[in-house]
This record gives sequence, structure tokens and C-alpha cells, in this order.
Amino acid sequence: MLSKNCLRMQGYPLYWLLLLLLVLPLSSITVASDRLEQPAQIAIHPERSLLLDITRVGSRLVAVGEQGTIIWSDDQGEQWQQADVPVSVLLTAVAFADSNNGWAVGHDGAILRSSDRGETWQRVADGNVVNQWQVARYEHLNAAGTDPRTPEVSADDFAVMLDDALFAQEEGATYPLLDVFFSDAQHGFILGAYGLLLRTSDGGDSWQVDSHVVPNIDRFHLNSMAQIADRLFIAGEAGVLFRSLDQGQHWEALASPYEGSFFKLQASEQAGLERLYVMGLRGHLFYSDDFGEQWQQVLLETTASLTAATVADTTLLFAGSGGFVATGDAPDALASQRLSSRASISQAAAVEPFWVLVGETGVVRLMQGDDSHGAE
Amino acid sequence: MAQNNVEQTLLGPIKRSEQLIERVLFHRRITFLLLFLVITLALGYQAIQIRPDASFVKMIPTNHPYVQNYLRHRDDLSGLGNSVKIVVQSRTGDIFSAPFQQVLQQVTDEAFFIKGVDRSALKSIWTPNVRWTEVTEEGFVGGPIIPPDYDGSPQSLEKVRQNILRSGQVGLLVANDFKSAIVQVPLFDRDPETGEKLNYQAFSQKLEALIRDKYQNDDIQIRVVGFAKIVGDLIEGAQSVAVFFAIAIVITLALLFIYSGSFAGSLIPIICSLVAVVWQLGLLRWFGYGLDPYSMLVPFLIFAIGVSHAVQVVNTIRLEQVAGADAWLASRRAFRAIYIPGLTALLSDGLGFVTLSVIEIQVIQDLAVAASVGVAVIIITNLLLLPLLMSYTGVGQRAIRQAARRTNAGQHWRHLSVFATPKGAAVATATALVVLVVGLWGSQNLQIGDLDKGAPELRADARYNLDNLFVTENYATSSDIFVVMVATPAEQCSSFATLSRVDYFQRYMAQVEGVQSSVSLADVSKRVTAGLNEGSLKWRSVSRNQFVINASLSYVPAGFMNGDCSLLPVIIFLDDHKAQTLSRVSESVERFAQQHNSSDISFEMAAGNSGFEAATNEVISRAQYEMLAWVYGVVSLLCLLTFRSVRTVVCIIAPLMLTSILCQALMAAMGIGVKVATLPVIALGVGIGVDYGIYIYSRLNTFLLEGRSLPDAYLETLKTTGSSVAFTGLTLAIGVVLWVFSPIKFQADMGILLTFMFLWNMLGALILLPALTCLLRRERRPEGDS
Amino acid sequence: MAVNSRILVVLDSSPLAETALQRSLLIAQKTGASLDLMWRESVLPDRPIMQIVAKIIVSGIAVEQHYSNASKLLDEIEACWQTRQQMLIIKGCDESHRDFWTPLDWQLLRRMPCPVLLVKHDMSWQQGTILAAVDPTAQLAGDHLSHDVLRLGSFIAHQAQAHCRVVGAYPPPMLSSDAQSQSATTLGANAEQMISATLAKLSLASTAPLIGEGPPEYWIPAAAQQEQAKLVVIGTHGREGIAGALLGNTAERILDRLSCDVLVIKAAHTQGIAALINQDA
Repeated sequence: MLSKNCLRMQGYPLYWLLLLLLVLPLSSITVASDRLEQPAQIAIHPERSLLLDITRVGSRLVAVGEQGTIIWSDDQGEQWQQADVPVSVLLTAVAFADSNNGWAVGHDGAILRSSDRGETWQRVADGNVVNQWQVARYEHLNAAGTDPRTPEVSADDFAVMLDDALFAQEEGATYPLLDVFFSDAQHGFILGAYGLLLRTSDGGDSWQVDSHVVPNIDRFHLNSMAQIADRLFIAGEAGVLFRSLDQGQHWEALASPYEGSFFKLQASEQAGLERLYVMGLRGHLFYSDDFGEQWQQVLLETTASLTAATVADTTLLFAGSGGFVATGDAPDALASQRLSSRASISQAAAVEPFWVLVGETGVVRLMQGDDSHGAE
Repeated sequence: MAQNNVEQTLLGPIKRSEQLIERVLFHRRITFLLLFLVITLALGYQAIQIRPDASFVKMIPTNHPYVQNYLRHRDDLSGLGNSVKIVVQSRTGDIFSAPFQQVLQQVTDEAFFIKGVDRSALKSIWTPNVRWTEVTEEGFVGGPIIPPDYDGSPQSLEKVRQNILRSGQVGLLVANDFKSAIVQVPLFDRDPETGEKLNYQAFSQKLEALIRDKYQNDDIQIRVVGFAKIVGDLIEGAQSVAVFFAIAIVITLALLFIYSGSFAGSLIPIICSLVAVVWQLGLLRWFGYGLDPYSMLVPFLIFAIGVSHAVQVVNTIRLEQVAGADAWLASRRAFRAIYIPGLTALLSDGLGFVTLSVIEIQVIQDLAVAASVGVAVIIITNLLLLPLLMSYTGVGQRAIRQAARRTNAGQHWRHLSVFATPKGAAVATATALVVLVVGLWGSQNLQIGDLDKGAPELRADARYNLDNLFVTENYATSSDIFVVMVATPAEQCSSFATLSRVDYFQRYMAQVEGVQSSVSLADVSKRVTAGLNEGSLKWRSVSRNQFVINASLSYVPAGFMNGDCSLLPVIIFLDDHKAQTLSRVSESVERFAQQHNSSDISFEMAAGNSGFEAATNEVISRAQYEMLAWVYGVVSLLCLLTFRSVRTVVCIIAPLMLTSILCQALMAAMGIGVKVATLPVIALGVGIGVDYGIYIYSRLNTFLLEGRSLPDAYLETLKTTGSSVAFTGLTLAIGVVLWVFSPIKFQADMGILLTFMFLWNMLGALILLPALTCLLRRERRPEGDS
Repeated sequence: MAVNSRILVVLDSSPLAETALQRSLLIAQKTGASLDLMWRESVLPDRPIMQIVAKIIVSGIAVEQHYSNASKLLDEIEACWQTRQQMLIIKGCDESHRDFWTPLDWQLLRRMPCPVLLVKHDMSWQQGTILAAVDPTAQLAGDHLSHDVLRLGSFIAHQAQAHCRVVGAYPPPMLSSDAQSQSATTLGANAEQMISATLAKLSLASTAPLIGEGPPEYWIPAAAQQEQAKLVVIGTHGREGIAGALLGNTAERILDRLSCDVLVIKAAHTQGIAALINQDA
């Protein structure tokens, strides 16, 4: 029993120690409360969760989706394992810069990085950090009054952008990131809602806000990026198309064949032909053989939104909402089918001999060359 | 000396009461007969008016925290309490035909007008609250599934098909294979205007008459599932219960006549026992009770108990008459002789049944009341009225001659009296121990709650269960629903913090084995947010931006939140409602709630039929042994007061305990779970079984006091009381075993369990009781009295 | 014999009344008492009973005649007793009674301030058996009414040169009661022992009591039949009103089953009886 004198002599530290001892047990009961802080829950069948993107790294498939789910498979999508992920937000995209380093992005501005082929992930930034980057960037540009890369953007525009950035910062980590793309181990891009564009040139150690470099005055969502023959392309909401010929230093707007949203760009290099596909709302699919100058439409008799595309050797696959899947060797030779589950497909990958699709009901595998309605 | 004082204090009032009653009864016979007649008529009039009375809330333990949570939020949880689903199935094609749609529309309209239906929450593809939505370049569009210009033409039907696909109702209101559609009919437990309770029987009949009978034909099949339909079917099946009751009465009468040879001696017990049933039903009605499907077997039990006591009385009268007394004298003497054991047996029955009220489920408490009222009434009809009637008729000459013949032929009882010898007793007790071990081992597997799919009260091939199977096979949602109520401060149920936490919770629950899927306001927000963004899956998340959330919740289907946004139900669909699944689910929710509950959000259990069942299972597993402890405690105490010897109590109670354990093992073996319907069975068995022991021991004691040796005394007991015990046990068992043929599985299961208990109690009283008496007396000198 | 002992006889025109009158004549002759004849109804002079009256008057027994209304009979009897203090009331035992209302005989037994003799036959009691009926419970030792019955029975037997036997019914066995009450043999033995002890205490001669299994309504008439008894002496609580309606009185119940005379006494008569017995000592 400590006497009063003892306590007085010991003073505050003891008091705080006691308080801490009281508080600690209590605080260990309540769990971290925000989904940006909560690690992803381990699921029994994570491959049945809502999955939004899938990519190949070597022979491994990595897929990302709801509540921080990231899974990988080394046996062509037969069995999957769940990765350690420090967040519980919906992850929208995944890409690998090289055979070890992967990047995943998602809602609330979450940016994750893995250096062990996708088995464990660390949080690089969240929406608050991205907001800080934006504010810092536009404060700088506002002060400078101009950016040499974008002479057409005026000082007033920068002031407006700064206001927007400050407003976004007040709102918090609300903007979703929609795609991530690495053209090589060092150069990568992250696309987001409301025209957000982040660029890295050092393999992701640092990121720069390049939203204003894209001529996207209406701040349409940037949905997908693809590269063909050293040219980068961005497709987005309301049919916007942008092209960069210099690895993202400058971006130009392209004339769009469609006023509705584009969800996916897919590059295809079959038989020496460098072709770029763009697809989106209500079954619209276009391709261009001249790097985006002119577009041909592929008429698919569907109003399903097309969101997924991939290429396997010579065969193309397009898929989208309501379980729509079209495959074929050429745009005019596409056979379409509907998965019997009618589950919407978000993304697809090809690994011999399967098409591995991900979407509303998780992983769906189809045999390449098979017209049946869903093999899984 | 002290023993004598205690004895005198206990017995004094009993003996005085007997003298009083006997005198008054036999001096004023006519008066009492008239009085009984008047009461019978009055109560009979009441009894005829008794109605089936089933209430959803009565089946669930209202003191359990889960149920209290539900009752607190009840008004906000429309459609989750009580609903039926009407399935309109096309036998010949799919639902996209004009005739089918016409029928579906008509069925929807018919359901609208049935009394007790919550019209605003009625759902089918024909109701305006079910909509399709789609994203176009312009944004979000939507509309009712049946377009305003619907005219039955192929083009209209094609539009309907597309609308259904866009509405997300496939697997919910429309079957996966598009060959049937559902009309979901939520019910009011109490009519909001009149405050009347839902009349399940009337509702079920209306469903049958207005919908199934009217619209079912070669092309269309109608199926109905839901709690209200189960109850309705059970109530309909009550008629078959009555038929079996009647058959059992006839068989009992016939067997009684064969056994006793006395016309009056078989008719009057039956009449008195039936009078007891009439009084019981009349009193129940007078007190305001109805008959719910689970307590409709109580009248038969009352009849059975009444008959077994009546047989004892008649038997004693017959013994007196064989000894030379006339009808009046024999009845009067028999009244006095049987008074104490009869009263004790019935009081222990009655008090034993009263102890069922410790279980906080109204249906069981009602059962306790019904059973104890019945037993109290038997005291009057079979201990008072019966001797009164018999005093006029006696057993008849034929019976006396038959009994006189039999007394000499009572040698076949010698075989049984061997159990009163030390060797026989040892064998019997050893066998009993072996059986006990087998029983204990078998009863380990006893499960709480339902073990099968569907409605276990009905047979697997009953129409209801076939309908239920159809629904589970063709629709995505199971009918096993566990609802977790998420409570927040007002206007906070749609905040980001709440919805993201609920989203997290749903994923947490999805990992629990037995959970099929779940749906909540968070899902609505996610889907509509995606819809607001051109249907892109990438937007299917709860937005951190409150304005976006609010926009996504501008139209919320009924049942996902309450009026002031302080309650958000999370509807969890389970694979089944097995007890293990339910306890796993509730433990998981409990863990989550402990970690995440705060002043801003709390996860409360539970609503939905599986939620209630989880609560019920918990209450039952706790109460199961509590109830038995009470019943045995009360019965033992009464036996102790009657016989004033602990050893005697052991001899009487031990066989009963053996029966209880074996009954549990039997239930486990038959795959019957301990549920609201079956919980009281074992207690009832104790109540009925103790009678045998009390009667046999009373007689045995008298012979022992006369100085006979135990085997001798027991032989005499068998010749006098043993035969009536054996007879009663067999007759009741035969009467009850017929229930196996009942279309109601619950009744069939009860039939088997009760048959088993009647027979085993009888054997226990006839074999084990003397064996234990023999063993326990070995320590004392054989001449000592008890 | 007391000089002023009187007997009240209730008479009407029925044959029972004749028997009663014969009995009163026998008793009056034996005891020298005078008779008060209470007529319930007016009887014509040519009825046989009037001849018996004449015979009585002729034999020198003092006779007074009273007349009363049928409805006020009991009141008149009581009033008469107030003045005359009869030692005994005699009436013919009326076996027909209207079922619902309390029969007159029973009312008589309940209300009368002196012993009542209900007559069923006119044979002499001499050399016959007189039964004294008591309830052989544990309270017998202190039950003054039963003692009066025993003494009275013994007295009458002595007077009439008959033998008196005690009859008692033990209650039928009761299962699961105390050990004593469960066996007929034990109950019988206890009853016999109790009666013998009481007889000894009262210094009355004891022949073996007639013990049988009750209820008394069965055994007493059965014993009387068996012994061909001439008279049964029995005590009654005389319960009236609701108690009388529900519980009834054993003495009343056996009236119908007996074929001999019944002498019923109440606890209140004890002084009169003591006086009667002691007088003769």
C-alpha cells in the first residue's frame, strides 16, 4: 500500500502509469476503427469475393477486390491464397512494375506496395496523403504561377486547382483511385476519380501529382491506361481519350468516337499489328490501328458495359456486365456468350489454357476455345 | 417419538380432510351429482368455444436479451417478423407468358386484401415497390418491373424479362430458372387498427381458399411457405389429432372392458376422464387461453392420467366388492383407501407440471397451466365423481365372478415377484445399471433445436416441406434468417462510420461456417453508388463522402432502415438452422459486438426466425436441466411427505430417472431435437410415471406392515395393484402408439416418446421398484417397518 | 323410579304411531312414568290407536293429551318440555321422507332437549340384545357423550333384563397413512382395546365388543342384524343447518337401515341421563 506521502513524492508519473494501466486493457478491446487502418479480414473463400482486377506476374496470378482482398495463385487460378494487407478498402487495380514489385490502389486513396510478388503488402499512402501531395503541388504551382510543361494552364487555373485541392483535403480521403500502370520498373502512373493522375519515375518511391498535365478541364474520372509502341493512352468518363508520346511528360486529348464512358483500354500486338482497343458503356467497342487517330467500331449486339479485356496469343477476350463474354481471333469474328450466373466481369487475364475472369462473384475460369457458360 | 410427532403433524390434516370430504360426498350424493352436471354443462359450453390460438411471440422466449432487443425494435422491422411467401410456379413453361402473369397479378391482388397482411410491405414483381434500375449515358433510370403499358403481348413480356434482369430480383422474387415467381406477404402479428391477434387458422384457410384452390390448375402450381402456414397446417392437422384421440378412447374402453369384465367399471372411468378433459378445456377458455398446436396434446394426457387413476379406484372398488361389500360400501371404502396415494400422485403431477413455468417461453408456460389445471380437475372428477358414480353401479356381478376366478389364478405373478428376492433384485438392479450406462452414452448425442430442414413439426413429404424444398432449391435466399440489429443515434444509421463498419461486419460474418450471405443498407448504398457511376463495379463501395451516401440512399426498399434512421438491420441468410450453426453465428456476433460496440453503434441480436431460434435454443439448453431438477425436486418432496422415508423416495424416483435418461437417448437416436415442442415431454413423463410408483409402494407398504416378507408382500401387491398398473401402462401405450400414423410428425414423435415412457415407467415400477426396495432393506432387519 | 318422570309421545293416525304407543305403554308400565300424548293431527275416535289410548288410561297410567299443528310441532314439543321436563320422547320412526327437506325425525333428533326413542317394532326388549354404539377413536377416553351411551345402554339392559353389547366401527384402512391405520387387523385390535379400557374405566361390565370395519352407517346396522338386536343406543352431535345438510349425523343415517328401535342422546342430555341412572342406584 503506497502511502499518501509516497504518491506525492512520486508525483505525476505514477498517476499516469496507473491511468495507463487502467486504460490499456480497455483500449485493447476496441479495434482500430477506420477501414484504412484495419487489416483485411482473412476469408475462407477469398476467391469468391468481389474482385476488380487481375494481373499476371510471371506464372502467378494476382487479383484484388473488396475490403482489402488480395489473392494470388500459382496454379493457373485453381487455388488461391490470401495476402497480408493492411487496409480494408475496396481495391480497384493491381499492376506489377517488375517480377517482384507490385502496386495496388483503391478507394479512399489507398496505395499499397508489395516487394515479394504480392504475398505481403504495405501501405504507401492513403487519401489524406494524396490530398497533401495535391495541396503541396498546387500551392507550389500557384505560387509559381505556371508550369513549363503546360503553358496553356493559367495562374487562375492553378488557383482554382489549389482551391479544389484544399476543399478535397477538408473532405478527407474520399476519392477512389481507379487504375495503376507501370510502363517499366521505374515509370508508373496511378489514375483516379475526378481526373487525378499521379506519376512516378523512381519505381514508386516518390509520386508527383500530374492531374493538370492532362487536358481534362471537366475533371472526368480517368479509368484506364494502356501502352502501345511507347505511346501511353488514358481513357475515361464521358468518352475522354488522352495520349502521351513522351512517357507522360505531355498529354494531348484525342477525338473520341463515343460520348459515353470508356472503362478499359487494351493493347494488342497480334501478328505484328499494333492495335489499341477501347471499350465502355453500353457495349461500345472501338479499335484503332493508328495510335488513336481513327477508330473503328466493333458492333456487338449487346448493351452490356464492357470493362474487361485481355489477349492470349492470338485470341482476344472482352467481357463486361451481366456476364457478357466475347472471344475471337479478330474483332469481326467475336463469338459472344453470357455466363449463366449473369455475374458482371470486371477484368480478365489469360494463362494457358484458361481465361481467368474476375468480377462480381470472384474468380471465373473459362477454357480457351470453349463456348460454354462458365466453367467454375 | 419424534418421527411420530412429525407424522402426526403431516397426517393429521390429511386424515381430517378425508373424513370431511368422504362424509359430505357420500351423504349428499345426488346434490353433488347435480352440481357436477351443472359444472360440466357450463364448462362444456365454454370448452366448445375454445379456439386454436397461435402467436409468433409466444413461441419465443420473451425474457431473452435477443428477443427483448427484437421487441424493442419490432415496429421498425417490418417484414422480418412474420411473413409467408406464395410461390406461383409454371408447370408448363416459364413465367414469361400472358396467362401466367395474369395469375401472378391476381394472386398479388388477392393477397393484398387478406386480413392481417401488411399491405405496404407486400412485394411481388407486380407491386410498385419492386423496381428495376439501369445506368445509361444520361445517368440512372428505373421503373416498376411491369411497365405501365403492359398488355400481355410478346413485346411487353420481353420488356418484363429485361426489367427483371435489371432489377436484381432473380433468386429473390423470381426463380433462378425463371419458372416461378414469389409474392412475399408480410403479416401483422397484431392488426394495427383493431389490435386483434392474427388468427392463423383463418389466415391459412383464406390462403388455401382464395389462392391455392382458386388458382392452382394443370398449368400453375401454388406453393406457400412461412411460419404462419406451418401453424395453419398444424391447426388443420388438429382435426386428425382429434381422430386419433377418439380411436385411443375407444381402444381404452374396449381393453378396460376385457380386463375388468365390468361394463360400469369401464364406461364410468372413461366418462369421468372425458369430463376432466371437458372441464380442463372449459376452464382454460374461461381463463382466456386458447389451444396452440403445441399444447393440443395436453387434453389427451389429461385423459390418460385420469384413466390410470380411475383404474386404480375401480380396481380397489372391485376388491372390496369381491370381499362382499355392496356398491355403496365398496365405493366409500375405496375412496378412503386410495385417498392419500391418489391425492399425492395427482398433486405431484400437478406441481410437477407447474414447475414447467420456469422456462421463459410463453407456449411452455401455457402448457404448464393447461396441464396443471387438468390434473387439478382430475382430482375432482376421478377421485370424487368417479367413486360417487360407482357407488350407484358397482362393478357388476360379471366382474366380481371374473375377479374371483382370477384371484386363484394369480400365480403368473410369481415370475415377477422374484425381483423382490435378493437374487432377483441384484439381477434387476445390475441390468438397470447397464441400461443406465447405455442411456447416458446415447443421450450425449441429444441436440438442442432443429436437426432437419424445413418444418420438423410436419413430415418430410408433407406439402409444406415439399414447398419449402422447392424454394430453397430455386431461390437464392434461404428461409433461415438471422437478423442483427445495428442501433445508432438518430439520423446516424447512414453515416459513413456506420455503413463502413456494417460492411466490415458483413464480411466478418461471411467467414462464419453456416452463413450463406447477408444483406443490409450498406449493400444498398454500394450498389446504388455503383449505379450512380454508370454501373461500374469499381464504384461498388461505401463512399466516404456523406453526400454521395445520401444520394445512394435516396430510395431505400422497405425494411433496411427505420423511420428516424436509428436502426439498420443486417439480414444474414444461413445454410440451415441447426443448433450448432446458430450458436456459432451468435457467438461470432457477440465477439464482434464486444470489439466494436460503442456509444455510436451497437450490434444487437436478434430477429428473424433463426435469430429467435438461437435465443430459444439458449433458453432451452439452460432450462432443460433446470426444469428436470424442479420436477424431480417437487415430486421427491411430495413422495417424502407421503411416505416419510428417504429410502422409499429413492425406490420410487430412481426408475423414473432411468426412464428420463432413456427417453433422452431415444430422442437422440430418433433424431428428435430438444425444442419448444419436445421439451416438456420428459417432464410430463415423470409426472405420469410417478403415479405407478406411488400406488404400488402404498400397497406394498401395507402388506409389509402386516408382517409379510418382502417377496410375499410384493406378490400380494402384484395381485391387487400390479395388474392395474400393468394394464394401465399397456392400454395407454397402445392408445398413444397409434399417433405414429399421424400426418403431423410432431404428433408422431410424441407418440413414440410417450409410448416408450408409459411402458418403461410401468416396467420400472413393477420390476425395479421392488428390486431397489429389497436391496435398500437388506441393511435392516426384515421384520422392521418402514 | 322417580315419581315425576314423564314421557312425551308424538302421535298421529299411522300404524307407526300405534307401535310407538305400545312401546310407551311398556316403558311406562316398567318405570311408572306418566305420558304426555302429543297429537300431530286430529284422529277420529274410531281409529285403532284410540283403543290403545283407552287401554293406557284404563291401566292407570297418567295421561295428558296435547294437540298441535303439524307445522309447529317441534315448537310445541319444546314448549311442552319446558313445563313438563319429560325424560324421554318417543315417536314412531317414519321411513318415508320427502327427499329434499330434512325429515321430521331428524329434526327431532337434532333439536330435542331430551333423549328420543324412535320406535320400529313393538316386541319386548326383555331377553334381547341392546347395542350401545360408540366411535372407538382415540378420543373415546374423554368423550362424555359416548360414556353416556355406554352407561345408558348398560342401565337399560339392566332394567329390561337384556344384555348390552358395545358396538363400534373402526375406519377402513387408508393406504400410506400412519402404520396403525393401514391394516384392518391393527385397526380392529386398537378399537377393541380402546372400548375395553373405557368400559373398565366406567366400571361397566364388558362382554366382547362388536368391532367391525366401518363406515358406521354400514357396520352398526350390520351388527344389529347379526345380533338380532332390539334396541340401539347411539349418541349424536345433532348438527343443524349447513353442517347438518353437508355432514349430516350418523344417528340419522342409520335410521333407515335398522329394523330395531333407536335411542338417540345428545351431549346436552347428560345431566338428565345422569339423574336418571343415579336415581336408580
